[in-house]
Amino acid sequence: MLRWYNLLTCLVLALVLVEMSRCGNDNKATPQDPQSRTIVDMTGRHVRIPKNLSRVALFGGPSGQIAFILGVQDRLCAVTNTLRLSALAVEMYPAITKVPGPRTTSGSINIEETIASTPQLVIAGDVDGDLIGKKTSIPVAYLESSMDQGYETIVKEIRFYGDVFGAQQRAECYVTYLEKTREFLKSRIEKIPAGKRKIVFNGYSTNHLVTLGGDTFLNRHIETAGCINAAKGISTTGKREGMHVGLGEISMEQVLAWNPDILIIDTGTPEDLYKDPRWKNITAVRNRCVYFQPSGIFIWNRPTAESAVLYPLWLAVTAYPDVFSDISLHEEIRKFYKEVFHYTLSDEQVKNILSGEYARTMARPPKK
Amino acid sequence: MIDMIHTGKERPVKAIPHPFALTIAVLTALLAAVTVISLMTGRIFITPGDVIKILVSRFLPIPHSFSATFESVIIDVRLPRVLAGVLVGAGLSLSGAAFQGLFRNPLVSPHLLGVAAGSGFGAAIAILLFSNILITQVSAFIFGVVAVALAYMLSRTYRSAPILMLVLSGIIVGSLFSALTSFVKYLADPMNKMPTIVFWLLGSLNNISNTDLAAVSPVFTVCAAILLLIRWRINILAMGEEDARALGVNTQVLTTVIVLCATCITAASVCISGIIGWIGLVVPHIGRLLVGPDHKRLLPVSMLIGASYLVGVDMLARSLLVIEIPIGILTAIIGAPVFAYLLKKGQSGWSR
Repeated sequence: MLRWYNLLTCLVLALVLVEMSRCGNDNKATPQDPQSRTIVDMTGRHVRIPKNLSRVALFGGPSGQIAFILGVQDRLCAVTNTLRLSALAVEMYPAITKVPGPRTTSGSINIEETIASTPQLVIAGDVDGDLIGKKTSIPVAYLESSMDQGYETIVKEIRFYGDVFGAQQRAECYVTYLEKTREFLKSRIEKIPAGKRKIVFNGYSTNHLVTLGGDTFLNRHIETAGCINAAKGISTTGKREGMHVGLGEISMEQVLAWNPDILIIDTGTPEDLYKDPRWKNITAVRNRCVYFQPSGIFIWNRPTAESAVLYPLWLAVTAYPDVFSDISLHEEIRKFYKEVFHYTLSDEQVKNILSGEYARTMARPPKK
Repeated sequence: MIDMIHTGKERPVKAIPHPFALTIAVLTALLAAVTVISLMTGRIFITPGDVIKILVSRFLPIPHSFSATFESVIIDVRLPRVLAGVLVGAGLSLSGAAFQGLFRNPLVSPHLLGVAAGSGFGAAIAILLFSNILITQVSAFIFGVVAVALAYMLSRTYRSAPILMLVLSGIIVGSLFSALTSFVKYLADPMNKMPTIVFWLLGSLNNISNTDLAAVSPVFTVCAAILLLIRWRINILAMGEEDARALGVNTQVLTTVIVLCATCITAASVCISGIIGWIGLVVPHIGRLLVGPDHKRLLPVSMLIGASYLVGVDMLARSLLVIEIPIGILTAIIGAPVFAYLLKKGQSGWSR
């Protein structure tokens, strides 16, 4: 009896071992398909993708514009809906409106629509990536959250995209541009004494009281511009129900206590605040230093490649016009789009970027 | 009147035996105290002496020995916020108490007939299309009233048991508008508009200005006055519709008036402060614990308690942390245990 059991156990063990070794061999012996290659995604996972990557579904919210930077927008087969709603993205590449947008926000993706767009690879954040991975057999490359990160993540992200699309040169062109801009700002900002640094409050939403705290990417951008984030002492990156990480609401009185020199809004107009008695004693309002957040392909208060270069530049020039009297924002924006996106902006487009017009028109459906 | 309610099979209500006038006096003093403390508390420290001087200087010609910034903090920021706390707290508690009497159900809140769902939708669609605070508030008010009007009209299409039908219609309309709100959120740009909608729906007194107060306080005053004037009639309705009709009361007109006033008050609250839960549900129970189920006493007492409660909670919301705590979270954290305690005590004095 005992012997019979032993025999059976041995048999099962042997089978398991054989199976396991076969699996191991399978994994090692992958280069059998010469049409594919392995990439490492931003979270360190290995993903096999076709060498001729021509159909990619891009589900990272703010990072969708990287396809434009790399000049591979024609290889997108599905995108985040926001990218199709971006007025500037549509002007730069009208065909984007014909690309389906099955993803609206993190966690809400139309899976069938995604499959119907026949992607060879899906690039997505953790929630969306898990969803696609669980329900389809499409390979998924994961992105890293960039809300609480600095420039390193943006650089890592664009190099990762460059690797995926085989557009390393365009990626490096961006990285060089970013470093050049930061070096330039640093050299000018150094001369401004610590006591003269301006305090900036980003007052978003309809009440102008929703902001991004000291543990967000925006804090780094503000520091790069030689300013101080009024809300640097609070942290806002924890997960909050129903909204994107990185936002927190501040009481009106707290903003009065911080008394910022510069106020940046993304809703309404500066005139509304100049008229509002509650805001009248804030230095920014008294000195008429309330600005509407500029917006390109994406609004600049989000962790995008575009904002990493242009937000600090815009803020620095706006805050310290004397230090940057030789710099024309108009020309700088045109230069950035020319060199990084290989796109020549018209005067009208530059004006729309600086006035934030592209953020206002964002919710409208794309022009037919 | 009280005797009339207490007849029949209900167990006797243990109303606390001190005179009603004393209760009112104590609660009024409490409200005054909370209001004064609240005006002196905030992220900016202003000495109580300065606060009093700033307030008095509005009415009496005394020397301005305080800074203009402090004056603005008190007059333009703190005062409207505290007054809004008084109005919204009193208004929601009053309409909650009236609704609980009208529907003869202790679990009813002023949002029962879909006013919050309607207002939420109105605000969400306005944020999506216009991003303008004034349009958002007007739209919230209009859609709140529209939702209840729809529920009311729907209930009139049935012949039997109008009160029950009103409740069911409210649930239908509420669900419809909640679904529409979710749809708007789904359409909204997730980076920009969606957080705005979410923050709005969470409820906050953060954005109240003196103009807002001036716009909604007539609605509050008129509707609250009507409800207070007819408050003894709610007692008759609370006996049941058939009994009320037997006593010669036109229940349909009475129901319409109560629903209209309570809805306008709630919609006016929601349009300036977003959706603040729990107050309209819990406060009438505390009121019943103090003065019993007679609506003649319950309505004014609920208003006083609700006002003190919201002013106090809002003081915590704006001064506890650097970041603003959404007030709906605080009212629920404080309201839920209080409610559980009241239920356990079984003394909420519900008469049926």
